[in-house]
Amino acid sequence: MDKASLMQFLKRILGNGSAEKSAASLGQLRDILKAQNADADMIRLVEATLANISEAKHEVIQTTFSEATLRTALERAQRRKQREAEMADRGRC
Amino acid sequence: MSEYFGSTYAAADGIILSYTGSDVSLSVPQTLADMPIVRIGDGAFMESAKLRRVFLPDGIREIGSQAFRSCRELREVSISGSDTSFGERAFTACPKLGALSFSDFPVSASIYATLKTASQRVNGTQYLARTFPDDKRLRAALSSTGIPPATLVPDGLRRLFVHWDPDEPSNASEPESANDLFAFGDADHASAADELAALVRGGASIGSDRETERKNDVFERTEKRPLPVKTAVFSFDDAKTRRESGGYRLSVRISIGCHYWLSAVPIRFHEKTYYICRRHDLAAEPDFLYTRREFAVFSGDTSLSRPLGDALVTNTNLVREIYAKYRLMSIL
Repeated sequence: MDKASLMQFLKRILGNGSAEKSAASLGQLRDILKAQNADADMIRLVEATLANISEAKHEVIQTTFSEATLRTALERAQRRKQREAEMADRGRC
Repeated sequence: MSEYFGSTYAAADGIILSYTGSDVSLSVPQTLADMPIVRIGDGAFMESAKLRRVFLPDGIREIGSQAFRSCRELREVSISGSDTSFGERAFTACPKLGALSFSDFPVSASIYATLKTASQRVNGTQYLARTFPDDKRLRAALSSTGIPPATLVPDGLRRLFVHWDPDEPSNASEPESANDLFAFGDADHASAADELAALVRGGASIGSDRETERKNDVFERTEKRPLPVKTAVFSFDDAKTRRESGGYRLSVRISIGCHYWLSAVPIRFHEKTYYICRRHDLAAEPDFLYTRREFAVFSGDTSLSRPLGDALVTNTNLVREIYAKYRLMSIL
């Protein structure tokens, strides 16, 4: 599976159904990639998407959806989660 | 390595990853763009709101976890393959699911003979009094629908088993009052034995047999009462069985969502009170007719501290006499 196919799968999976349904399908996609010994970067992208489904789903509905925009959205979501975790550690959340 | 993107399916390596169609009746293709389909991916058909019937072709070896979860209208799934396995919760939260059909289920000649002996014909359908205790596929099918095969008690009144569906808590129903003549399954009534026990315990406040009959008849006509228990009935179509190279290939059907309720009629016999507990079967399927074939007699001096088995009258002649009197009373 190449990057273009992966993005098509992500768009299809994230664009339809609930977060729960997307999570199940993304888990299946990750398993397929692992079975194919796919590029580690692609597996990481699926796992990052799996960890930030709501942000990824939001990104998919944008007309500008691409690998770059998805990565940016996932990084932003990751940073936000880190910030929230730090705030919680300090007792301010 | 192959991939497929159609208007309704997305598939890779023989696995359907996602279905986004709105079919009511769906026959899953054997191949997609020359790629043989061998697995329904995890969650692939989840939340397909309109799906009512699904036909899975020969060649599908596995149905992924949660594959058909929350298909609220799904009524029937037909499986052609003889070695399909089921993922966890594949059919959970499908409240209208009535039947899983296996059209090509291989068994040995000896198992076939056992099934024939153990089966029972009711309303034109051959029911299995015992299931296939060693068969992984049927066990998996039951697990995926939320009915644990461990609760299957094969004989007599307990031939069918019940399970409260934790995904459908709203379906649970308490009897309407202490004098309610019907026992329904709920979290505290996880088995037929428990339901009977509860019924017998409440026996002192059970109404007249005339009232029981009236309520039963209302139920039979209108079917408006909630039916909270899930029951599975194993049946096989003897007529469709074919013999091949020393073994048999059966058409096996697990009917899910059949329901039963229990009623009890107190009766005085030889200065002692007995309760005639009858079980009424009703299925969600239109071709499954109402049946009232099974009854049990319990002695009236049931003590709560004693196990249910002690209350069951096992003297066959006595049971026949009590039932004969009850039948006479019903006629009168």
